Amino acid sequence: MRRTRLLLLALLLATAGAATAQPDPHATRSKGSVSAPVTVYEMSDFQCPFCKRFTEQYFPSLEKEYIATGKVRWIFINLPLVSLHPNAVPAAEFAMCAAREDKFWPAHDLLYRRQEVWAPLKNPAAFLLSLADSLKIPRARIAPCLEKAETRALVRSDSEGAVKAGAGSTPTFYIEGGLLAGAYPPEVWRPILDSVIRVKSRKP
Amino acid sequence: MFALACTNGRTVTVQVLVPDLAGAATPITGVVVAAIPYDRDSLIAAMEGRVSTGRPHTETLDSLFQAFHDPFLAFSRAAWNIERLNRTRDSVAAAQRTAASTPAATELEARLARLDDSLRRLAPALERARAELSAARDTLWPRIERLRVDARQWQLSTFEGYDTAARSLARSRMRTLSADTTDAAGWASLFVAKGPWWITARSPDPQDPNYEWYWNVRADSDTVRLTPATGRHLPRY
Repeated sequence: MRRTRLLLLALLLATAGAATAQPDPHATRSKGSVSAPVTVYEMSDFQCPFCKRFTEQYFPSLEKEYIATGKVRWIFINLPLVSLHPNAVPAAEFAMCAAREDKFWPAHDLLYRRQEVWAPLKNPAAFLLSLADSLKIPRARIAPCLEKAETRALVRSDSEGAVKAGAGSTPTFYIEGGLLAGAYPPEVWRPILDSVIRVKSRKP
Repeated sequence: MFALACTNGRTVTVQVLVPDLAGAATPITGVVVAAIPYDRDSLIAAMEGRVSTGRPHTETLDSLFQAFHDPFLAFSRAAWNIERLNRTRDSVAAAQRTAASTPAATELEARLARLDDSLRRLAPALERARAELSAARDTLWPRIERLRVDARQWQLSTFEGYDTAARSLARSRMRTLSADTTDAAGWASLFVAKGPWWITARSPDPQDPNYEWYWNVRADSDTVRLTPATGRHLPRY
């Protein structure tokens, strides 16, 4: 069952192989080389405090050691836990609207940095729109995207794919056939990534 | 060790029921009910333990509250009874108008007369109770309010930093507080993540404005009833 789920996840998430002719649907929300031997899919929720902790405390080391060095490609997948975090979907939609302006990662960082401000708001729309100013995204371009919920289907599709694949908590990471659930520090990640990179880098 | 991930949680439904003026358990509307990831009473006790002096004037305030209780309850019950009779009278009068010149009209008219008689008999008692309550209020209330100033000052200084401590506790458990307000049937609904939660609320006591019902209950099941049996009856110093 678990193996089936992981295969399904691979199909759901890894729709864009490095060598395909089709445009990469994850290009705007990925980091690292497309030819990196290992791809990590992070399934996260912008309102989740554990995701915030992972992003702010642990991810920078992983980015420096594995992504910047060409060993890992990192892709963000939305998994808003709506019953737990009422503002997670608007935040995810905002991030995906920012992605259309090629500002996904700055939006991602800003959403986590200001999580404590927008998370408790009854209606976060105005605050999220104000974040666009910080990102230097013209309001005339992002406002229609937010107002018409143009990225809602994309967020839903992300979320459904992640749930079908077995991710029930955030953050959950898909690492070349395995799932890692939880905000673990780099000490936990290093042996996992090193061993996967070793296997994937072996010449056939 | 705390969890390292956000997971979907559960819904806890809470009902607030307190004794009304007649002593019957009644759902209370508009009570703010919160789910908190720490034991509020322990935090309160820890903060109280840090100060060398206890809350001032509690004994005097208790006796003043006691002196106010009886006239307040007597008036409230008398007014409540008259209000109930008036409501009944209004509905009987409406029925009588509808049933005019039918056999039922005579019976309704007789009932209306009995209700008017009861209302007339109760009116002097209500006026007496009102006068006693006014006298009690004029005598006791200024003293109560004067002493409350000191009591509130003590409370402010003793619990200074409570909000910061509570926020820090919630953050250390990586949880977001959940709150709701009770509906007409006294129900509130709270969504909580996995892990231990306490349900806390306070409701006015319909029988005494100087007391309130307070709860700090572990949410061990998905339905929690906040009643006198699960709460504490506390003076409002």
